[in-house]
Amino acid sequence: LGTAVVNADASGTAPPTWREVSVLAATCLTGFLTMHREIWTVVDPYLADICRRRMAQLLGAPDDAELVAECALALELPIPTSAEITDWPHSECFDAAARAALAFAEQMVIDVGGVNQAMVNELLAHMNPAACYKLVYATWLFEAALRARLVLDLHVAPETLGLVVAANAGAQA
Amino acid sequence: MSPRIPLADDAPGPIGVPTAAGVAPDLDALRARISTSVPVGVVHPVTAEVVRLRNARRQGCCLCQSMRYHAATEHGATEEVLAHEYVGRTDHDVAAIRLCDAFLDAPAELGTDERQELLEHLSPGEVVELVGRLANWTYNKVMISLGMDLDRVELRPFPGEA
Repeated sequence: LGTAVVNADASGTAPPTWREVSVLAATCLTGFLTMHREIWTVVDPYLADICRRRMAQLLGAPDDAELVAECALALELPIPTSAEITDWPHSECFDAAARAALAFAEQMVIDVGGVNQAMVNELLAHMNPAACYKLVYATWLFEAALRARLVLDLHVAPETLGLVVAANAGAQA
Repeated sequence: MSPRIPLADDAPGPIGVPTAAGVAPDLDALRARISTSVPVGVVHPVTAEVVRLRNARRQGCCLCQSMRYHAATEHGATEEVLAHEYVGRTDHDVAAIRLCDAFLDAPAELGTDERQELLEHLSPGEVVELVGRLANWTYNKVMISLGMDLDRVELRPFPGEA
């Protein structure tokens, strides 16, 4: 597929546009998008989703931050607003496990070299090693997929990622 | 570094660092069923290696900085060419690095003009392949955060390569 595009470039036809990039990306990133939709089946959906939403805020994707994982909605727990997630260090919405997860997710986005044993121990205080590893994997997946979508200008339907629009999630951050 | 979570097996895996395989069998099964890999073949091996090492240095991943793809070295990726400060970089590879930096820094801020400038040097297929491979290369963040990186850079080929 990509080779065909390169050949077209060399033939002297119209210069490529970013629209072509976005169209190619939808096919090329199928594995990432599928994993994003399926990962919810193996992680704590509430913790993973608040991490995803905080990372989306930090990466400049407020629309993504207002979506909610369908699996998290099914838990029937209170869904934090975007404003509450932005203000998580001071918000009373989050318990110690959620705070440990959000602190970890923020550090992953800002500078992974700043993650230390104490931060991982905070996670391990609230979950077993398997759940910890899965949460770390999920944070990587969410961040990598979102960065790719943003750079490539790839817009996908929320359900493609296992997400839905939740009426009460989008209060102003 | 030492692993920050208990592992199923502390022995180094095939690439010389511990592996999290076996810690979460349900995730292992999911990863075996769904691959995040992207189709490879449009991007020149040297360009790919330049971008892979850009990410490795930016993340501070010693393992990634230690590895060299045989396909890249075979096509001219000498240590001089791969050095961060190499001054002979082509416009094509400079564009590839700019794309990498946009991904790693502020992906939401990549503007229309910058995108069009990238397309003056990279084909749409190259852009997509580079971003898809880069997304996968950032898996080193999982390894680093869980203490499963090398302590220092030690040049070595990828396992299974000549």
